[in-house]
Amino acid sequence: MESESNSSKVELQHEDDPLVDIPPEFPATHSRFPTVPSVAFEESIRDAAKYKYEPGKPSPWILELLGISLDEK
Amino acid sequence: MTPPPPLRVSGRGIGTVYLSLPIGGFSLARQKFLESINALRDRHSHRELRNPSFLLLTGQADFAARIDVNDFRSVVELGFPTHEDRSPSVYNWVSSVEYDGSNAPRPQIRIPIAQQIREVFPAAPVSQSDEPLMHFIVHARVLRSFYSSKPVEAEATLVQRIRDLFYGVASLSIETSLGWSDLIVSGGVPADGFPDLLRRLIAFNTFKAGTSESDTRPLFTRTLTLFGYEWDESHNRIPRVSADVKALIFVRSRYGRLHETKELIENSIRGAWVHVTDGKLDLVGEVPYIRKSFFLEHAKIAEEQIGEDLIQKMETHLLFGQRDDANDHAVILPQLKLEKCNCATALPPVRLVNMTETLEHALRNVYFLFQSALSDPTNCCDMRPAILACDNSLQRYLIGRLGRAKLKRAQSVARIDANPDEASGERLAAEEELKRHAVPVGALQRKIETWVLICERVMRQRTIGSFDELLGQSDRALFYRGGAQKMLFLADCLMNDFYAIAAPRMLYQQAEGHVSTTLPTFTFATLYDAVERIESVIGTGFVRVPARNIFKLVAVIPDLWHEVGVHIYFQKRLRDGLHINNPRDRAIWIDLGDHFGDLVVWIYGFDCDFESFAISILQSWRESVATDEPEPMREVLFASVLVRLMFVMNVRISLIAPRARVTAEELEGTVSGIVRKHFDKAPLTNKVRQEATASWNSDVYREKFGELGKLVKSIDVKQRVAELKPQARTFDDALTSFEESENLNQVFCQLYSEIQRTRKSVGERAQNDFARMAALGRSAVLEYHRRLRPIEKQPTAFERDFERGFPEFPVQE
Repeated sequence: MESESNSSKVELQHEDDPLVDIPPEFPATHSRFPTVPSVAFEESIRDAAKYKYEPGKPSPWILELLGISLDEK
Repeated sequence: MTPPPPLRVSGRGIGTVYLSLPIGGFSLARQKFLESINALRDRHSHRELRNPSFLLLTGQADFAARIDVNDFRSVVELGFPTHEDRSPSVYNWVSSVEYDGSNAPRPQIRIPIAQQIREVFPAAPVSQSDEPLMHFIVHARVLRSFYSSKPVEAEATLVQRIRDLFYGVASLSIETSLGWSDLIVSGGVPADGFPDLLRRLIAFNTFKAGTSESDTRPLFTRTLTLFGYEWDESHNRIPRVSADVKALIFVRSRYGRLHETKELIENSIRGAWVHVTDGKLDLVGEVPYIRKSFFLEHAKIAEEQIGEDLIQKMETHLLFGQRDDANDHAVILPQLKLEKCNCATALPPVRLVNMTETLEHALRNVYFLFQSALSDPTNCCDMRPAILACDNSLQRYLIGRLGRAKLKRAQSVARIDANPDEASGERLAAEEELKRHAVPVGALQRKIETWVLICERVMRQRTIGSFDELLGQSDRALFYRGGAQKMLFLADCLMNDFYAIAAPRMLYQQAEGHVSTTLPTFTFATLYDAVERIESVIGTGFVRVPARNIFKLVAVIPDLWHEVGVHIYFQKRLRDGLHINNPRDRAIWIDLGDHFGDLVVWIYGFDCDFESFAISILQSWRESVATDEPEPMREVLFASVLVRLMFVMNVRISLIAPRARVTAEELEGTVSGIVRKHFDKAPLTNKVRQEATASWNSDVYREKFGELGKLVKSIDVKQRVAELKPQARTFDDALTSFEESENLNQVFCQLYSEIQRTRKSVGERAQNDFARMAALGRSAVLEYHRRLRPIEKQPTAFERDFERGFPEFPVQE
């Protein structure tokens, strides 16, 4: 973020959108669902091996919020 | 004035393909068309393809083949013609929906009683009448300011006036087109009704609109009239028309056969006098008046039954113009505001800063095309949103980024210059920095080159099948075989509206240092493309939509919202602490974009209705995954979907019950319950659930989730749901009007949700809702014609809020 202040000046100087700054390494397109899992997501689920999965019961108040019951599940 | 009856649409669509064929090519084209229909029926048994019919046209195009469908995807998937068919040189598909004429007065013409009005061409394969009919098709573009006020009522009045005009003269079909035309009026008359038909067509072209008889303007900005007759190889359907109208036959002969061709026409068509001409055609045959035998003689030449291998191309036009009514036909509506548009002044000058010479030339060419399109009064108002979005994309986003990249590069050069000692640490560091800062400059120039290509496509898709091209040019139809301008226009407007609502609130925190900035009104330009799923070109506002989806925007509206949300996300940057040169961090940033997009869709699209939002996620995911995707891959992709649902659920809970501490298991269990409820075949295995829970608990996203969640803390979800609940609507086949500031995205959302509810489960087929979707689509297009006026840009309410700093949404730290 070393040149953030400078870049702000440029933005105002050029009357450009002050908010967009997408790096060139970025993929060209985006769709709602990726066709392959991302590197980051795969890293996050690799933790599954370390993580002891213990299915917990949802709190009743959450279900109430959703308007569904355990029976419906 | 008696109000017109409600305007309703038919439950079926119409696809008509206009073909230019070589002389004698009709029989083969007919056969190939029927073969393609049968092949599609075999592939999609649930698709209805009815009443294939054929007209031999006398004008520039030669053949019109038509089919009724219950799903416009059939027109895309029909795949007719192909290069293997060889014979057609030009084709253009026109998609349309008939305005239901069941309430209209029945015309009193001599057609057998059993033949219903709507069954005459273009609805019938071949007329069952004993008497062959002469057919006409008129494509018309309506003056945009005609829709300036109460647009649905205006359209209904116009349709009624057209019915009145042709009443008693011709059977009639009035259709609303999804392409360049607004209205397509077609019908047929017995031979002795032809002179009267010509007078009505002249009258049609004199239609005017105004607030009073003394204040009118021509109503149609363009019309295109075609004549033809039902065609079969036996020539039994050729009408024996006799009329006091002149015919001109334009002929291009084969090389070296000019005089033989001249003799052929003079000997075969009674009364024809043929001239040799300069210019693009070789011969012009003049026929002083049409005899009863004229069209039969014409057909024999056109089908090469006589004069083999003499003619390359022949087109015949009728010269008529006699008016029997000195008065113009005026549609008087007191509420009209017939201002002239000023689209021609809408485009700002292009800032060619720091461009290479090659790129500068290309940009100047594109802007010339933009200006040319905005100066064409026929089409300018419909193209303006997309052109201004293209301009915004270049000038606001890409040039801004290029300017910043060049500045950073220049700063690095200055730092090098300030450290002349080549061995010094400062100098070496500056050189490393320069390498890093040089990359974006080249990359952005390449992105601007891509921008040029995409803009060219955006322009092509908004002019294909227009007046000048419909019958003579199809080289713009790369991804779909005709024009779908109305759907592109609608998609642009819906996304721009959605952005105008979501962006100011979601961008506010980031933008508070730049309160003078206003958001662009036109940000998104849609194009249909060879993509498998809807996708956006990041940081530009271009959204690519598969051709099959462009006709069913209601069914994919959440996907469009998501791309708007992701566009906002990349405007916010939100990458503090992430190193973009690291693929892992970059992937995190992208993944977070999807979570952010989900939040935007949930809040502004579904008004915080989680279950409807979840169904949209599941349905879209189901459609996005390839059918042959291996199961392990499906599972891991679905685990990420589960995490996305968990994230929105967690935000929802934290907004409603801020002190709640919800475990991963609770979230996963709740979300999985909803998934099971709506998606029978979800790959919701224990492994998937475990992976989702593990991902949620891992450190990869944890802190970033918290940051994203804070973005929506200033929005009271409960209050939003209470205040902004859309007005409940009933959808049917009637066109509908909208309130002045009604949120059309929410109306689309309501119909979307109704359609989803007709599925037994996610992934199962929904009930066919063609008429309701068509009625809403046309109503929304008319409404956006109204809303896009006046031309002068007025800041939206949201932009004004944005300027003021959103007092009603204070930032909560």
